[in-house]
Amino acid sequence: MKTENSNQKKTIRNYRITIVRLAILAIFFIFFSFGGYFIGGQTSVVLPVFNCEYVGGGVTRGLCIAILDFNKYISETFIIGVIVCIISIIMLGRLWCGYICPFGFFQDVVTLIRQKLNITQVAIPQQAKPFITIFKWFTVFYILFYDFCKVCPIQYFTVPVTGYTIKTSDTSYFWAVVLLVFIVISDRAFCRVCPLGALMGMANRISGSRLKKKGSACTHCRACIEVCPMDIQEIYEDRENEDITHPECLYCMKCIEVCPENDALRFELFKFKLLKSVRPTEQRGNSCNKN
Amino acid sequence: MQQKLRERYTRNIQRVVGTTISNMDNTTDLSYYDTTYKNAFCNFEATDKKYIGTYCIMIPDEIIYALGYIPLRLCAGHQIPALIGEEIIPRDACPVVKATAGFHSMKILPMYNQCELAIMPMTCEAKRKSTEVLAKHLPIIPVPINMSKSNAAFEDTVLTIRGLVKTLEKQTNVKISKKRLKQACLDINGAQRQAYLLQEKLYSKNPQIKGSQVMYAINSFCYANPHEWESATSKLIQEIEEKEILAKEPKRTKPRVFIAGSPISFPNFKLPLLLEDLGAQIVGDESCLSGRLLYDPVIPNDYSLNSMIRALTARYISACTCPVFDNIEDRLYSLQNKMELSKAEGIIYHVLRGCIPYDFELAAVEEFAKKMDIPLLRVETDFSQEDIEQVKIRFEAFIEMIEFRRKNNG
Repeated sequence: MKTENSNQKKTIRNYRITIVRLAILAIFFIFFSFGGYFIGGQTSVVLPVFNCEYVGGGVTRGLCIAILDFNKYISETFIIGVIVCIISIIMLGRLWCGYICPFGFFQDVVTLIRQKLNITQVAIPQQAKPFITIFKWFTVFYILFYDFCKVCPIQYFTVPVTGYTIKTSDTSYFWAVVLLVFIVISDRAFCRVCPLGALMGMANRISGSRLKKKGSACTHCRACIEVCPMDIQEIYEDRENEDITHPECLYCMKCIEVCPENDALRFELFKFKLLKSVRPTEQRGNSCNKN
Repeated sequence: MQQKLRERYTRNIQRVVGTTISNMDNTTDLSYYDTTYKNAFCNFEATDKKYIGTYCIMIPDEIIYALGYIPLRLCAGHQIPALIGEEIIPRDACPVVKATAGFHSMKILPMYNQCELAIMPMTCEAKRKSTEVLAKHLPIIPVPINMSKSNAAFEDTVLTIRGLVKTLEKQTNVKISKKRLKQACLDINGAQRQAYLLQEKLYSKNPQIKGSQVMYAINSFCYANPHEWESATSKLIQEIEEKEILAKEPKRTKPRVFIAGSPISFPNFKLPLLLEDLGAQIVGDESCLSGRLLYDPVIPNDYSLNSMIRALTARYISACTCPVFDNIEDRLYSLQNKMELSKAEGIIYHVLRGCIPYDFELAAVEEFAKKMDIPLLRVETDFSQEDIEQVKIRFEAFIEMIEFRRKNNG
């Protein structure tokens, strides 16, 4: 009796979407970090991700450096690259953050290690939220008008991975240490204050990626909000609006993955239904394993 | 004298349990559940099991299993202890509390005698006040629960549950480890999945199992080992699936009725059995001791103690649609969802005499039923069999009305 049950490997959570997402992130991480050795750097292409200019085998430019150096490298091809980048943001919104951003991948890997070690995530108190928002818009202000590279903590994470070292200033070193602490205790800590994310979040309101909810199917079980890396309360609270895409949403789809109600949450890309929530049952789980 | 009284108690308890078990339709194999109930209520020899009692469905069973104890659902549906309890508990209080107090003062069932302590969530009035009555018999841990579903209230409740875990660890001298809590979550989630599949079988056009049988099966989880219950239920589902293949389209389908309202628990299956005798098909219920007992799964973010306790609190308290919470919205939405899934044609609103929270929400549910164009019948009753004829007359009229509406609507 008991042995039969223990042989059958049971899980509480399924990771059907997260596995695919991490795989995509990993591929893009390799592409952004080492792709330059194979296809060479394409400086005219700008992608809306936090991709450090100093990465050894970088392929494209990140939007961060494009904003910083907009007046320095102003040229025809560069402007076309920026316009294409802006159009892609308006089309997809923060889908870039959840599936392509190399620093997002780094944070997810840290989270994965933390979860494997069964270390809890520290819940950010509700009272701290306004301060985080203010800090987020301060970073936006900073990247637009000051030299962000001087304080950017990301260079200490993505650049050493590719075998290079860089040190722009002591301030950035300080922020890197602070950031590392937050990344370890909380999912996607940097994304909460990311200046590019804040700007791209505005596109979330009109982009083609929509997260939708069937309010009547929701039982308020809080599964979605418990797994949400950005702590978006609306996904749990909102019942009236069908479209619950939040400016901070990264489209990581963890909410859809864990939602136990059939069709309560779904993701639409340009009105095309891509993903929806399903109730996990033993039968479905078994058939998945066989396939 | 004492001996005689004991004998009378045991005889009567066995009689009532036996009647309910034999009244269940045995066209489907329910033997596992029968034995579970018999072991729980007809076995008067002491066992070596250690129990921790809980009220309601707001205290996570997983925590108790992780401590190495067996959770005992104190909410009873038995009419004999309810009569005994009448002397201890005020007349207008609900029979569930009366039955629980009765069982404790009778001191004949081993599972109540071996109950080392009881965790009492402060839900409705009767449960809150009965803690003092039960405190005469065993140590009680009262757990205040915030009756709001806001985020602040949730954080509050998480702290309360963490405090409860600490208290339990101190009381039992057992430490709750991540591994054991995770294992308990896995076990109950397995049972929960089977319970969901079993309930889904009622939503089909021509259900091959009766609603009362589903309620009977799920309610037995309160007295069963999760592993055994899971495999027994998965066998039951297989049996139903085999029947579904062979089933022929009936000439006329039975009127589909949904049971809402106060809990229906073993052995008080008076209402569902009566409804089915009159030709109705019960297609679901929202009773906290059957339909909702194993409805929501526990989904932790990771397997740390903190995350698991948060997930348990979310599943047991946030998702609960008990009318003691400050708004009815969640309950109406979940009712609406269940109505759509089960395609119910009528709602029986069961009110246990003295169950004020459910009676309070009747008006809102009536309005909701009107909007959905589903007739609703309120039935107020208790565990006794005396009013069975009156209830029967009302049910007959109600079922007739559903059939009449069918004809009119084509």
